[in-house]
Amino acid sequence: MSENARTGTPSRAQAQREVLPDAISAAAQDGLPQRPLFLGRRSYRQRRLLDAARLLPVIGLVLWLVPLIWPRAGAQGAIATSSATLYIFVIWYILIMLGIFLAFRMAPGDSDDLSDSGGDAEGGQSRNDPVDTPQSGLPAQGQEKRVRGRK
Amino acid sequence: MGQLNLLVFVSLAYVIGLFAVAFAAERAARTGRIKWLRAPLVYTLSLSVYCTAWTFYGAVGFAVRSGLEYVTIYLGPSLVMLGWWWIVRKLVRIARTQRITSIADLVSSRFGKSNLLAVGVTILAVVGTTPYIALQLQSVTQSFSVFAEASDGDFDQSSQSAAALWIAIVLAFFTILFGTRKLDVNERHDGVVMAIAVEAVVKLIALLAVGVFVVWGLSGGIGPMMEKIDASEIGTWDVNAGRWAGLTFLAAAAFLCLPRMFHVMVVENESERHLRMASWAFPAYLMLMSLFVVPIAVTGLDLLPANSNPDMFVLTIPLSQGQSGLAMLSFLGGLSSATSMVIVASIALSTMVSNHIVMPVWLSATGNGASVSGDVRHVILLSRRIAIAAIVMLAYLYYQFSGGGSALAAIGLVSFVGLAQILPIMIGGIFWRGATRIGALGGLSAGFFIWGYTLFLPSFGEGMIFSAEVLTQGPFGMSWLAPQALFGIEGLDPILHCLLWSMLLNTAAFCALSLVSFPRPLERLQGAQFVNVFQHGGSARSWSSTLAQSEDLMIMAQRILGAIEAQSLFRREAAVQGIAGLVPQPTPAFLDVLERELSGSVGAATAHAMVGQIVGGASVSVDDLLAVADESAQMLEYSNKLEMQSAELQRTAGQLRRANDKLTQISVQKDGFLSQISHELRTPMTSIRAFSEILRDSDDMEPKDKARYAGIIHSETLRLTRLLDDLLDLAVLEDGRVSLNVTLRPLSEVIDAAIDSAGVLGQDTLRIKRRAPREDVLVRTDVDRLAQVFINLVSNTLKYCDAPEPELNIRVYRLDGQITVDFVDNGSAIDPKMRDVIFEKFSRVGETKAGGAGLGLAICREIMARLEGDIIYLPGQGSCAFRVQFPAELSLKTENV
Repeated sequence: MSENARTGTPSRAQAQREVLPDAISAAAQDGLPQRPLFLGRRSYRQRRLLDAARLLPVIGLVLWLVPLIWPRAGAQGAIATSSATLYIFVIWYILIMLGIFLAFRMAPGDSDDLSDSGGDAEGGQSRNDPVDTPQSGLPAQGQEKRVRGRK
Repeated sequence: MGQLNLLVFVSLAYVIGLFAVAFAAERAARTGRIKWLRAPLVYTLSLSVYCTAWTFYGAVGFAVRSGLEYVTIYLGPSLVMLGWWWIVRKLVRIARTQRITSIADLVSSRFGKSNLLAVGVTILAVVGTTPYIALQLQSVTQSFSVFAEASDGDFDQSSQSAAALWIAIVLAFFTILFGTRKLDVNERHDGVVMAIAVEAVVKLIALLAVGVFVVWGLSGGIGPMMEKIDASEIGTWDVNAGRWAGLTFLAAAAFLCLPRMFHVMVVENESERHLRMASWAFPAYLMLMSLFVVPIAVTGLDLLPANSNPDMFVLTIPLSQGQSGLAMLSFLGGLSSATSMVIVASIALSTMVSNHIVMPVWLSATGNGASVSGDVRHVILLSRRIAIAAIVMLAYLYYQFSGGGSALAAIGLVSFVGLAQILPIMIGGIFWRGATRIGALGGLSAGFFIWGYTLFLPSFGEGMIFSAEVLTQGPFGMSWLAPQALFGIEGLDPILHCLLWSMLLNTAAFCALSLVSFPRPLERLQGAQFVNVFQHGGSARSWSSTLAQSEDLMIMAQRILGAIEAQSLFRREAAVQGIAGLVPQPTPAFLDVLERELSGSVGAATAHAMVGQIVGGASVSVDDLLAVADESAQMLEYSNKLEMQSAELQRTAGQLRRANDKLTQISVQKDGFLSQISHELRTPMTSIRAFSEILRDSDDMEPKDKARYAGIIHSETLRLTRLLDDLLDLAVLEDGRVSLNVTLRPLSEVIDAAIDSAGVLGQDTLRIKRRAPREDVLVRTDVDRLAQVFINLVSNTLKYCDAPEPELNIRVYRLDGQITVDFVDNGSAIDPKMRDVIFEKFSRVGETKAGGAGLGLAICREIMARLEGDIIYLPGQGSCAFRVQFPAELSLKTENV
């Protein structure tokens, strides 16, 4: 093979090298080891459960602050203590039931794994495990279908 | 009197039972049967230390005085636990990674391990909690006196205070026994926690029992009870809106900030999974605790004389109905509430006092004593024991001093407001990296001061600390400074007034000072670790370079951790560093581990100070922080580099693969060529031999035939010669032994000559398109060789162009001294697969209709290389096209070759 052939090939490679590193460093600036943008169905459900867990005290607070607008004794239409008690305790009961539901729906180990900010020293493996990448989302859905089929 | 004796007996039996439970739990923990001890249920029940005697007895009194308002004390904590994902979970995680021992330790550790801050929180906690412990003593003695009255016993003031003293002594003894058994607070007090859990069950059952008795035993079921409630004094909703919201907030804040709550909820927490159960189970517990409060209150109002103490309805209702067994159970419930609170609060306070006040004082008193040998664990344990005894005794004295009146009963909320002052810096500390030590000190001082001025000191009553005049007119007649009407805002409930102003000014001072001050490096380090506790488990280091001697560190660690524990720690760390033996290198990483280990025993600030004494204060600097940041940036860079390298390797692999493909193709071609060349050589040779044999052997041959045969032989030899010439030419070119004959000629002439030589002009088979003006370029090169290339390309078109009316377009471009000549015909393009090999020797495209040896383009490429140019196949023209590129002026270097 001639000398020219040898010089011809590297020049083409050089052109590629000029393009590719840019693409890579651009990806690095976006944070290459980034968390996935989208989750599989199961992980998505878990995340929304956590959202619900975060929301629970807010709901409780809002409902328990409703008595602020009740008319007080002596005023027109004052609320009887028995009704007020009923209101407060029914809300309490509902909140507890929701709390039980959320606590049992969270998969075991979630408090470590599915933390809002990804894994940490102990839950390090979590980053690969429950957080589905878009690619692995498809098999997960497949599994779900299989489970449903078995039922 | 008999009943009182029975009561004393039952109480003693109960206390002995508690001791037994605690002993059994400790024993089980030692023998490793700890699974059920550390169940989430036990954790949840231990949280019930929130429900003290004040809530057990006092809730009913609260309900009698202000209706449903009492429930706010339970609503706040319920919300905090239901929202565990927000705050509690983070606190628990931080406490575990940072080995936090108390709330003072948390605050101090977050703000750069500042001991000053820890001392501030400790003082606030002691001042806020001691009256509260006194309240527990009072409630127990009060319940005694209720029984005494019921049995017409003699239970006067002196015997009341004697009873209070005895209770204090027993509680202090219990706490010292089970609370200071071990040093490492993170190892948890299994005995205490178990006892608390049992007490939680007792108080819940007691209150539920009284409630059930009241509703079904006395009132005839839920329906009649409800009617009775609505008919009573507290029958309509009458709760001040401000107090409703304010007390809910206050209870939530106190739930997080009370030292005893922090202790059971965060320090004693075994696993974050326990939180998940506690998140619903503890609100359920609180709901049950408050379920029967209003019925009991209403029944008490209904049945008992008007002057009876509503705080004691839980006891007096069963007594008045002759249910002494139920009353006993109720008494035990109250006793449980009081004792569990005193035990946990004194453990938490003693830890804070010993870690943040005694140890620093002791350290500085013994000078550079951190490296002196000798076990200091006994110093720490002793200081804790003394602290427990002192706190309980202080509470007893407070009880004596205050006279145990209704003033004490009000201290519950006062204490809550005081401890809630920690909330802004705690929440700010774990969610805001910009919070600084200066800000925390400012906020805490402001809150503490306002609490003391507007609530705590006035709570002693008129004339005790503040005169009535000061209370109403303000100090020195400045009415806007009146303790309970700051800035002239009067008519507000004192609790609400203090809560509003203290929280407002506390938070404002904290935020403002944090914004204007600049944190020290250690603060920034700790701030990042606290706020981002879920991102990294504490990888950043707080020690930089060090001159420490490992032996000194070893001596110090042995004194605090104990010889065996310290040695195993050092051996473990040495193994991590890959060193055999006991003495690891004093690297920053090791110092960090050691400090964290020590802080589990003596708190972050003291541990930091002790390590600092030996290391010589070579703590982390801003540069180190930046270096850490650099390090992670470098790691990122490194991983990027690796990615790039792997991408390059992939590219190289791709190139190699392509090269290999090409080589394989060439090898196939070569095989093809060998048969081709032998065929090419053989065909003329065969005819030459045949005709020469004919000439030799036949004598009678006509001259015409003879000439014909000789002509054939001649032309065949010419063909052979041409082939050999080509081969020779190529060999010479490839070896670089060619000498160039550089002359200056216009390009158009070169092309003219090439077209002439290719023999196009004679025929009209090929139409050639050119643009004369563009070809008007002078070239200094070996024009003969250049012409050879052009001839080859033109004759190739002539031979291979498969269009019906062949046409060749010759375009010339000139750019930066480089001349480009494109030869584009209108025939079909070359198969992409073949494009790589057409310039190789002996390659021919497809079936050759005009027999060439396949050397032409190979020669062209060699020539162009000599002329510092190139010849390539030009794709994308829709037809066959070649591009020839060469410099207009050949450099001298090549010329001389």
